[in-house]
Amino acid sequence: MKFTILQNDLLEALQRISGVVPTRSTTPILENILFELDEEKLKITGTDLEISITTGVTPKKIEQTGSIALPARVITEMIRSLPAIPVQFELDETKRVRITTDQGYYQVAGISRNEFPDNPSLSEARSIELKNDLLRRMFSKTIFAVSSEELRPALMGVYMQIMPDEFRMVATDGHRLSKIIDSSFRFDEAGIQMIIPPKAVQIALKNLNEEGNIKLQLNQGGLCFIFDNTTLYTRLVEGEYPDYEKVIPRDNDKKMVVDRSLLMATVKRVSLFSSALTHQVRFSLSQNRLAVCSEDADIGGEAREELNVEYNDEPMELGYNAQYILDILKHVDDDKVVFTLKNPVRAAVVKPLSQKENESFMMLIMPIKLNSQEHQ
Amino acid sequence: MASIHLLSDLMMKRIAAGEVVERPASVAKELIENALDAGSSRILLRIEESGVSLIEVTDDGNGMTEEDVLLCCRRHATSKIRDEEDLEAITTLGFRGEALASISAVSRMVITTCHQSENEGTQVLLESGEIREVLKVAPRKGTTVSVRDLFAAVPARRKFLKTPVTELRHLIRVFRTMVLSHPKIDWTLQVNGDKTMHLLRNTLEERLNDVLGDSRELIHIHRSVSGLNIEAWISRPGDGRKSRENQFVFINGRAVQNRSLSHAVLSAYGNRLGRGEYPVYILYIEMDPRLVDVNVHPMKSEVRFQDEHLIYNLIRKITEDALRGPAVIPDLHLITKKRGSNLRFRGNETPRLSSQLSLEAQSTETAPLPASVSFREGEKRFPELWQIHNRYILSQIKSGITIIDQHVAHERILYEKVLACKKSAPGGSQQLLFPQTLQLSIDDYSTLTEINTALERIGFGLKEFGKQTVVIESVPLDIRKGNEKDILLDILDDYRENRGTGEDFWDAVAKSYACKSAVKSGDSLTLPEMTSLIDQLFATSEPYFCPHGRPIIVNLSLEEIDRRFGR
Ligand SMILES: Nc1ncnc2c1ncn2[C@@H]1O[C@H](COP(=O)(O)OP(=O)(O)O)[C@@H](O)[C@H]1O
Ligand SMILES: [Mg+2]
Repeated sequence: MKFTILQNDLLEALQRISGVVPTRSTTPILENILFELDEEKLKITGTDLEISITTGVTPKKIEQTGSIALPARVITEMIRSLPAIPVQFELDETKRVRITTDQGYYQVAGISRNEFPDNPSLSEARSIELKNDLLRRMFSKTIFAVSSEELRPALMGVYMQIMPDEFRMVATDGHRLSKIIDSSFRFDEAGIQMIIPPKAVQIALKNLNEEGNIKLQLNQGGLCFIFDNTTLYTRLVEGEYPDYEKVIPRDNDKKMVVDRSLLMATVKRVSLFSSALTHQVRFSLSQNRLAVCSEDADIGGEAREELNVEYNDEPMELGYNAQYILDILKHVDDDKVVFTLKNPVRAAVVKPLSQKENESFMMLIMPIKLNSQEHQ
Repeated sequence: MASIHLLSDLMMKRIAAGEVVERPASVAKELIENALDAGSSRILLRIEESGVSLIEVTDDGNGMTEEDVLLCCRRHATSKIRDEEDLEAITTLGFRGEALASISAVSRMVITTCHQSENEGTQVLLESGEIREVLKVAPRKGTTVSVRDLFAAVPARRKFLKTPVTELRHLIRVFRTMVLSHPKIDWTLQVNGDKTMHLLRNTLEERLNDVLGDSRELIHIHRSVSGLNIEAWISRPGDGRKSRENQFVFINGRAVQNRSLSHAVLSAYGNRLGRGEYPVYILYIEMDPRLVDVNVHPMKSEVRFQDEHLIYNLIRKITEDALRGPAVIPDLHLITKKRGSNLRFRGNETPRLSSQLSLEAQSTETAPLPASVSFREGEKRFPELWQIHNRYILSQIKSGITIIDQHVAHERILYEKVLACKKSAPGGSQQLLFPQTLQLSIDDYSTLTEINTALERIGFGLKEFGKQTVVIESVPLDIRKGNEKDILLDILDDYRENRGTGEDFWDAVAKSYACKSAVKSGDSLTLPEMTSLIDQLFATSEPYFCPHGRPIIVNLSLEEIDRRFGR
């Protein structure tokens, strides 16, 4: 293997895969990056066995094809610290790679390509074509609600449902939930559903183009995103996604409409004075008024702000985790947000006042039952 | 079965002497043993007011003739052994001929029984051991023994009884042990006329589930060696519980306690057990009765083996083999669970250091910190904190460095929080989108009923859903997501252990909750989490010691460090 490549081209490619390469692994080979050179292109691959990314880059000059795995950290650090100059890679028979620039050389020991895990085979995969902007939107409206707790593995991913006449995504961690449906979507084959790990979703978000289409390939347990220069393979989360429709309340009959940015700023300020462990804030709702309060007994902090809302029902006291409220508000595009409520222990349904065309987007947040209610 | 006779003087001397009726649970145990010895296939235990007003066992066994029933409450009256030779090879649970005599002496007893050879039943009423009345009654297969007003006439004994709750717990423990010892029988338990539990004849696996709850998966072992038949269920490494409650040894159908057997199992687990973690094990050993002596203690729960070494090594060996074998590899779904660890993602935790800092200014006036360990000695900026080994928080202080144990620190915080619930308004309760259903063992269930009000005040929202099934609808804010079920089970376990030592109710609940819900050593903490933990720790009444008395903070002075470096 021998080639010459521009420092910035290679760095860009290395950065595309750096997110998956584990810095310390019980399988040390995974701390390496696989370099594969054919007559036209250099392909580099990183994997943690769950997710692998392969990305292509065109060298300035190719003299001899070949392949080798090189330690990720050293190579990335070294290339990063070079100026934008051509860099030559040359592999010798003893699996050492000499990297030469006009300033000097660096030599590292490589590992045979055979020891690097093979890319998962995608034979017998189903292909699906999706619009880039749609996929991006759906991912970004759900990923925040994915559970990070390993105890319920099925919740540790975004649930994607492709149906003949709609496209859905759902994520939940058991305290909140986000669901988005695109109803203009059409799909000719039988429905497909899968649970995609959040890390893969994040990497996909980084790589998705603004427009155009993307091809996905799906087989038993794995999903592949085919971007322009890069393919991302991820294993899917196993297990059955819970019946989320069942927990979405249908009879919430009290409605609060509030200005999104106003509420967000208020909650942000007030929550500074809530406990850093629980982030608990209290909403006191009365005729067209909402008071947001918090207190942190441990440090003696306390805060209260009031704002105007549209609300025409009986007064109510509700407790929420401020982080959840902020997360949810962040994902609403509309200026006005609608909370539909039932009582202080029932999930609140949160939606933008006006939905985008062909889209239905809703979030759920479970309240915190407040102490005062127990004594009422 | 042979008829009842009085044992000879010689035999009487050979039998381990002593009192067997110390509490309602021991009465239940003796009565159930008699029912089992009578070859019953259905047994009902009824209890009223934790046994002091009524303990009653009904069976469908062989029954007694009128002649026998008149004899059975005499001391040393038994149908089960006759001579020395019988004593060397005991095949029944009873053999001492003393239980009915001892029980009837301290209660009002009614025995209703019918023997198959007779076409009428007999009912005998006894008071303080004396027969008061004998009636003829309609024939009904089997025997009912009711014991009322236990110790009523012996105030000195009654005084020694613990709270009704404790006595009931002992009773349930006896029932549960008996159920496990004879899984092939239809068992019914009735407490105060309503709370009934009915356990139909089932496979042993299902029976284990009834008794232990569904929470853990056990490894099954079956071996026949050296004339012994051993069947066992043991927990996987890492699946242990926090108490010894779920450890049972049965020899020829008798529940026994034997240190050497427990030790054999424990040493097979070796360092596979975490600190304070106990394996679950249920051992069934069938062996020649001549090789095991049960006539050691009047309670008949201690045994001596003729060849203790052999049994010890055998049990240890088969446990070790099982723990090394393929059964230990967790099921696929557990693997998927583990696999997730590569994907650990904390998308929703925005660092909140800035807000912490802004709170600092405010807190120093309202809640001054204890002078001796102030992190803010003359410092404007927040001190640097490091988490080491995901276990300790380390920081520089004026005099050197300070090391805080994160688990016990959090334990102290939560402990005081719960104690505060006792007096004033409880903390909030996070509602769950997906309520968690939990199938409890008999023990766990009865503990839950005992402490449910306290759990509610702490923030658990539990709903009963049919027998022994509860649904967790909400949890205290301190509990980590997804962990709700395990924490609740651990609290129940731990509470039983604490409570056994006679602690104050709230104190026991607070300790259990704090210990189980606190961050563990091994949990990684973000900087805001660490700062908040330390803030809260110093707001507690006793930041230096955890509720169990272990130190929370250790300071290492510069002098000490200098000395170590030989400066
Ligand atoms: N439920 C029963 N069914 C039939 N016989 C019984 C029952 N309970 C007690 N007996 C008879 O009463 C005798 C005395 O019982 P007990 O005092 O418990 O002594 P032991 O069980 O040690 O023989 C037993 O040996 C048995 O013959
Ligand atoms: Mg007996």
